[in-house]
Amino acid sequence: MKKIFFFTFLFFLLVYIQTSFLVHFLPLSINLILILIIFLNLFQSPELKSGIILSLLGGLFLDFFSFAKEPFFGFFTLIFLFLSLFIKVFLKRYVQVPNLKELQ
Amino acid sequence: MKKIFSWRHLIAITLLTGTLIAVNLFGFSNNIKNFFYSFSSPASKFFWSAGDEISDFLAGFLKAKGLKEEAERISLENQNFFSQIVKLSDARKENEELRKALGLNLDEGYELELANIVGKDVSRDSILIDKGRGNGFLSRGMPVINSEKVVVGRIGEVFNSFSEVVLITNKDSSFDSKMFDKEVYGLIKGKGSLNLAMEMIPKEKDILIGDLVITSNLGGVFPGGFLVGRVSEVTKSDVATFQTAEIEPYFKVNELKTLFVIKDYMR
Repeated sequence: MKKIFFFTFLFFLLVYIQTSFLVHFLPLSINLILILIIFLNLFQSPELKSGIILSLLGGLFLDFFSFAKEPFFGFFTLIFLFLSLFIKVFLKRYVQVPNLKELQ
Repeated sequence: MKKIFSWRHLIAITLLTGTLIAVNLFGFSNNIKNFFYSFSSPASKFFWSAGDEISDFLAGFLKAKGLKEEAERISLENQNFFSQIVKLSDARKENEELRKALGLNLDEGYELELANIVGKDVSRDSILIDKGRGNGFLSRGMPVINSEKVVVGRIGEVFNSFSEVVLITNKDSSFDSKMFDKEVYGLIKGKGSLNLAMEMIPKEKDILIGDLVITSNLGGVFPGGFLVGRVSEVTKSDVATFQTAEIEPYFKVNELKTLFVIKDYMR
């Protein structure tokens, strides 16, 4: 739960900074939340579900800061949800992460 | 093999999708967004100004090397503009006399609404300003310019206290334009990521890199005579009927602070 609260705050801060402060420095097409979501889901165990919840939250923040009606409210929420589900399924079915303790 | 998703997960996803569909169908999304922007806009404005000041400060260091060349280029440009002003002032006098003779109104002043930028959209070329339906009587389609009379975009989505400005570089944006001082007309189309192109320019017309592009009254999207940008590249093909020019827009999103919405321009 602590992790979810921490990341909610982090997402809020990131989207805030990205839409106002970083506009002056970074290329406009860089999406910090998307990068964070991908990394979170890639490096988390496929069994854990918090990555999916965090993807939903990240998507929701992006939906709030997407001013246009098109395509629709919830677009990023759904895209991020399916993205995290895809990463989880892919990792579980096709990727075997080596256990470092066994290797030693 | 153990199932990856249980029924519980599927029900949760269906419920979430259903909620989002309901929010869109019943139009709650605007209220939710307006509420969200209301409490986040003071901090957003602060971050925007802070970013602007820091980037200006850093630009002083980073661009120091090219400052001399830049100053020389600007001084040359200035001389060109002075000669154009002299030419135009004669044309203006003649124009005023003709208008008087025809009894036309000389006053071209528009009713403007001053607005501050709150933030930039995360996914497309649009920005949010702090004036909306309730505090500025704005409506969709109104032209937006900056203090230098450079056209920036049009009002898109309108919330109660905020509005979206769809930048001219947005992929959904297109309007009629003409080359300054030339009878060359074309269609300006947004390419996304702050890029613009002027299309449908007849092949036989001469356009040069550096030519100024201004808005034209033809399409009725923007009032005529506002600055759009400068030609940065011309693409001509033997097989195509028209030529295309890449346009470097005059406004820079990171340098914008305040904007003006033209409220009384009839579309």
